[in-house]
Amino acid sequence: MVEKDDPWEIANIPGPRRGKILTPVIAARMIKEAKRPLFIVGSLALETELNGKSLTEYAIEIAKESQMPLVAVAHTLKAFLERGFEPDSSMPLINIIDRLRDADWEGLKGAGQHDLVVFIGMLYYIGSQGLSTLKHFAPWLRTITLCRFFHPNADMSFPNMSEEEWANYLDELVAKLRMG
Amino acid sequence: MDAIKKGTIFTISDLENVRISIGEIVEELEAKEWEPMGPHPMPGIATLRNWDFKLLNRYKPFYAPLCDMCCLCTYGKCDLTCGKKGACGIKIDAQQARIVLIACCIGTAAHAGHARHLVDHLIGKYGRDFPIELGPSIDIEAPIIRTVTGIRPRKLGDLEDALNYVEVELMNCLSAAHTGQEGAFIDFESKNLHVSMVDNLAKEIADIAQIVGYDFPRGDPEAPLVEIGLGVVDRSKPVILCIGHNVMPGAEVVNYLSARGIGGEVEVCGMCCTAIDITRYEPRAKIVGHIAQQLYAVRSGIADVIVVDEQCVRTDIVEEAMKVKTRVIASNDKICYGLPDRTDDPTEEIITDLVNGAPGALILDLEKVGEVAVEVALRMAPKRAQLKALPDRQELKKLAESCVQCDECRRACPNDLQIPDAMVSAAKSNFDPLAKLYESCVGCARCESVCRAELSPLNMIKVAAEYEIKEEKYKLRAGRGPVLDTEIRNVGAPIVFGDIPGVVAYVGCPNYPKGGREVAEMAEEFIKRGYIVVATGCSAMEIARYKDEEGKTLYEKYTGAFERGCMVNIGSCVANAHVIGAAIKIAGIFARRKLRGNFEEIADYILNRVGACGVAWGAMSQKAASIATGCNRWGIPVILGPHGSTAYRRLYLGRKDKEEDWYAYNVKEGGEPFYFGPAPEHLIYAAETKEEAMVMTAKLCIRPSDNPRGRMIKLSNYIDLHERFYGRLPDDWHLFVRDVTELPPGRRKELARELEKIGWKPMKMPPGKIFDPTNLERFRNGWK
Repeated sequence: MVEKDDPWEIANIPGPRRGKILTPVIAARMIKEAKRPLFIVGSLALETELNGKSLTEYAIEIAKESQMPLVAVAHTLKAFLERGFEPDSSMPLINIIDRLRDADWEGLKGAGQHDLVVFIGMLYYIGSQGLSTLKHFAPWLRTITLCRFFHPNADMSFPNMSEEEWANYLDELVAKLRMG
Repeated sequence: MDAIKKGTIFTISDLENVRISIGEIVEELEAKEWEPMGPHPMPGIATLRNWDFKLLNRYKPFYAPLCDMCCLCTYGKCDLTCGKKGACGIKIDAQQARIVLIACCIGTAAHAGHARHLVDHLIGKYGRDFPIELGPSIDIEAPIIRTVTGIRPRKLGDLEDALNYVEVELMNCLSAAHTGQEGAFIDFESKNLHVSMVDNLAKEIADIAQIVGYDFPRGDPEAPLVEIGLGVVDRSKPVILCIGHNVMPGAEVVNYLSARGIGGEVEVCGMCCTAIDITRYEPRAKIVGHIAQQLYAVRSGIADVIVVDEQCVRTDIVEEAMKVKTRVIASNDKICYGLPDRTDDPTEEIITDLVNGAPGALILDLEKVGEVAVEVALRMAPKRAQLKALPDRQELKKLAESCVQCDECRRACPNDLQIPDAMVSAAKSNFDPLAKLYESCVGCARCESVCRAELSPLNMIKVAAEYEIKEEKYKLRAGRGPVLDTEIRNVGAPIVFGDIPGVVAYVGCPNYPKGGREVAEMAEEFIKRGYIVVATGCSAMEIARYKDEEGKTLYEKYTGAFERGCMVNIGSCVANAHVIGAAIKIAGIFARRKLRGNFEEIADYILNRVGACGVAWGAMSQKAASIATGCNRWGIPVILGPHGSTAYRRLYLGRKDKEEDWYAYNVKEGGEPFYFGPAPEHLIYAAETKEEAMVMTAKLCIRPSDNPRGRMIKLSNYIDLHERFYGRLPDDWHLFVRDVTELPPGRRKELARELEKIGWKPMKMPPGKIFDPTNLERFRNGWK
């Protein structure tokens, strides 16, 4: 059976440096401590439901509790708008990664390049490659993923887990963020 | 000695002990008469470096390493993570560019090797003077060859001259990837662009050779509709299945059947581009499908004989064929599969051995391949009639019960298919979830390689989807080949000015994220919007696999002429050259630009004026890498599917937020560079979803040269698609509005108010409001 920190895609073994397991407590702390965090929501948010709750709704809760600016990638914008939530930006995943690797980019709010990026709902393989770009070319940035499967290219990633465990992790994260 | 001019009379006396070697006879007059030579005939590896740097300065390489190490020499493995250097001094960005170079060289070598095989064979058969005639509607017979090499190919021997150039450039580019050669990522990228342009050339050579050598359609808009699908094969007859990309052995199978007068008694069918090309030769041949269906087809046992030629053939084809008692004939020295070389053996002896159980044979004599394939199929078919290749549904349930739910199959699947869940259902006799996986399965069988219960999920999916597979009977228009000069005369102006909002080419392999239906859906969307839609290779096949409610495929519903709202099958992989060729012809015919040895000016023209965009939604192979990169050098952007971001490691991305990147010269205005806006925004880009790809396709068809009406049409499509899929206006639409007259008339007031809100100002307009852009400084004061 798959270990908690095995790359979800069996052959996705990038090299000597690999990410560590992230827990909701650590995730909440990293988000709170970051000066300019950014939250990126991928296309799986459109088709994932956990215990009857859409991943888009989880993303909205995390964004609201953390006050992180949210980027809706692929065509996820519509799902947010339908729920009455206005993302800070909508752009392709490739475009936001391209900006995050640019040391001179002023960030989504124009306040300077981001120091933490938080991913959720990415198609595994495209997300993994985006994380690889950031690992190599954005040394100022820490990357964490709140996806269901372990990403070795992230600095820290939620482990491989069942949907039920994932829902529990996300609930715990929201609760920790709410506690301030 | 100087080259001998044609028609020169010379006398040699005292011939004793003299050897005369006549090399090349220069046809000087003919060369002069068609066009003056441009500045860059047969460009070398660094000749067009400045052009590449212009592109790469705007569209900066974006790397996503698939592997953090280099393992190419014995110093390695070297860890290149996060700025570390390898033992030779290489860094991760250069290493990525280097791997892409190797991939592009492999892709180019595949096409060039294919071209060489065709040209040598046809010259051997017909001679170097065999004419290249593409019919009365095509004067510019080889736009890429003309533009890159300066050669106007009139006969097969001229193709060989162009091919010699291809081989030299390929060799030089590949040599740059050796340890201790090129070291800067930007120069690796320039070489990527160079070798991929050379790849375009190789493809054009190959397709022109086979068009004239095998009398394929010469740009026929009404090329015949041919049958395609796993369900179209008549299994009551002996079946020969040709797999690969080289038509020659398949054509010999057809020839032998015809010579024996038994053409109707044997099913000749194909997979991958060989299939497309056999139907260009013999429309009664059938197409089974593309590489994603190869295992499904082979394991079904439909074929009595498999003839493989080259490229995109499963490397375990002999092993798979043996399981179902299908005999394999390898016909090309590039893929021999360890089979015994029977080329010089008596034909009857080979046939007898194969019928009696030999798994396969390597036969490098094409005519012999044709005869052996047919005779073996005729004798094997009765023996194989009762063959049971796959489990039945009762067995399926038992097999599913043995699944241990370890998730390994899912983790090995490129598309993360929910195979374990489908197994649970199948164990309860509900096979629908398994059957549903068929559409998204890319046919790689990695699932069974890792299965702890030694199951074959692929076979189980096939059995579960038995009904759907039997019903796979569709129509595809045979590959028509090049776009006619007459068609270009009709569409050149509307494309350049924007009245026809774009040319969208669906190309490449079937490594689709969610099945091929998405390709057909994308294609039809743009057809309905009045774009010119073309397809090649696997994508052309995939588009044919979906019918509307009336049972028609896009090829039956829409015209095969290169015009607004068409659905054109250009042909196989090598026919991709004609897509670029059409863009070049627009420059040559509509704009009367000189093509000969004039790559840079033509590419500059295409980048700024021809709203073409490639979509390689399932790009998988190294050939796809060189095809896409070659398009990029000509100024044609390409969108990849999400798998493309994973495997190709490199994109060329523009930054619309950096205004300084989007200046060019407006010809005749002279002086300072002019801001034209971010179009096209990217050169090679990967989309995560079909919806994202469609919106980006519309955007990447926008060009600086659009006239106000054309820009309005393109903008309308972009806005409309974005609103449909994203729920509101795009946040960058104002960047493409130069003047309020370009706003869609029905929404002008509303959109003008939106512009006002964000403080938009009309773009500074050039004199006479004529947009005449160029990125080449030498033309800033006028076209010379």
